Amino acid sequence: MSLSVQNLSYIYAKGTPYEKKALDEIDLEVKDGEFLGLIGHTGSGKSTLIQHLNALLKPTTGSIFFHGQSIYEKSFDLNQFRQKVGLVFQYPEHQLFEENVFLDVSFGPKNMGLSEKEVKERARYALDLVGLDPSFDRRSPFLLSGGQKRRVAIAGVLAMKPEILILDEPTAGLDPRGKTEILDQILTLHKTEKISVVLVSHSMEEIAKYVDRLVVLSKGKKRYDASPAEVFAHRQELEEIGLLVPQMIYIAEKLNQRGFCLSYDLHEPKDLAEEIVRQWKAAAQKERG
Amino acid sequence: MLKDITIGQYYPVDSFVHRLDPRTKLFAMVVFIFCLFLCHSWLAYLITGIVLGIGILQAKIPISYLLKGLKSVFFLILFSVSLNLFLTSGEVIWQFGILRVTKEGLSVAALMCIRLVFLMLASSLMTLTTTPNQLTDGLEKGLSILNKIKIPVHELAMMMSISLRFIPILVEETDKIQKAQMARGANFEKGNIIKRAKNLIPLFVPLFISALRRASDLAMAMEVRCYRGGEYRTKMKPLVYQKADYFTYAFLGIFAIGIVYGYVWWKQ
Repeated sequence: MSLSVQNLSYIYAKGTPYEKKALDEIDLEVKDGEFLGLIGHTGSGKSTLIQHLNALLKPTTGSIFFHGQSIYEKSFDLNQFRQKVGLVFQYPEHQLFEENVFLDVSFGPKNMGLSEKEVKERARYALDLVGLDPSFDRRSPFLLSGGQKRRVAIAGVLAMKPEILILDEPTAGLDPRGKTEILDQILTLHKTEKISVVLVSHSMEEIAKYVDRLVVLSKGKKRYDASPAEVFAHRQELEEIGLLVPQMIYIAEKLNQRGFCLSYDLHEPKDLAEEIVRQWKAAAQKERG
Repeated sequence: MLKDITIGQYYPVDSFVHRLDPRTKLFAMVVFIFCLFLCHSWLAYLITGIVLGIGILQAKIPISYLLKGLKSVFFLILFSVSLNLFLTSGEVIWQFGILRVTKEGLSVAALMCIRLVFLMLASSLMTLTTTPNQLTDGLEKGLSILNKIKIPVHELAMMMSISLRFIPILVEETDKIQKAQMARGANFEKGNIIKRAKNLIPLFVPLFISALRRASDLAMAMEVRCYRGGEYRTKMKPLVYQKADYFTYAFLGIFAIGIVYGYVWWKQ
């Protein structure tokens, strides 16, 4: 249990006509080494929630514990905490400001007060992780492509070597290939560096195959918290809150109604096709025999 | 947080004042402020205060919300009040070193304080009950007579509405970038003034870039829709005066005549 959220509520612009309850009694746990997906329709409160996870917003009520310690206590070191829980905002490339890629990535480690040598090592380490070779170091971040900018920004957070990495819609605005590349890279990171990842998205299709667990938010409330296959079983309820399950689940569901027994755990079309063929053949054999 | 700034932000309720024509409200504000500067007696201030009070009550805006906006100009008021309090000559009633308070100073300072508060309340009443779009529409139509002397009123109004539109966007953007940099360990509160100014670079560079990007996107969008200013342009909801507007003008007229008359009488 590394990060746990208890009974968290947050009200925007309290006491004005714009008052809005953004989070309503949320309980959530991010376990060590977990790959968690946080799903919700626009305005469901997912961005608000992750800002709490980085102590950027203070909840109206409720608390958050990091390694068993409340993060709202006076003695708690918030700077240290923000390094341990790396937060990558939506469109992170909008935060780039330095004259070259290397300096921008160094910003985080520099703020941690590390030695110059360590800062350089960290920056290089982070850029390697996102697949940007040293030829990028001296280039201006503003002249890179959209996908490259985003990698630089993600590297800026990775350079602080977080224990938990939170990404808010890291694929927004990228082309399909850029999307897969970024997500694959995050998965590799998760596996090789043993970082816990919280991936925020509004598309189950996109992240289904990456996550161990899915948390579904709707209108500030937590609706589901289970493995993807278990969550996908609630196709109808999910549609009612504006979310679509992956297309493959629709096919599997239709076939299951006609006597197949397909698991919702399959994420590749090829796997599903093979399973269908296998079951079909088995059934045909049974009939013959 | 920056988002909590409420000075002059439109307060969405339905009221008599909200429904008034923006031109009426603009004119009313100008007349009110003009009258405010003609007030020299407690009676005049009382009448002005009553008129303002009626306006506030009719607008159905909670007093506490209105007063919250005053917080931002608190130091300005404090500054001018203390200047008046200590620098007016006359009958001394209290002295400490070079600081001395006179009877005249006391009354000038009190009136000045009331004047500034009224000024602030009147202008925020205007912006709280009028959306920025209505405001610029009102300005454009109200000042359209200036077109005759070749002043590009429409373009000026357009510029104003664009800049008003950009304020909340930039506030939100600042908030977002600030948080993103804080997540990377930036600290905007620590250190001496030079260090703090330096710490703002990671905030301002992305902010300027995004402001320029938005501006050029907007310019492009206007161009592809063949925007060419106010010529031949018609409105979906043209401004038309209602009964309430004539009533307000009449009420204001009586108020203004009274104040001006009082001022002339006071001068003599």
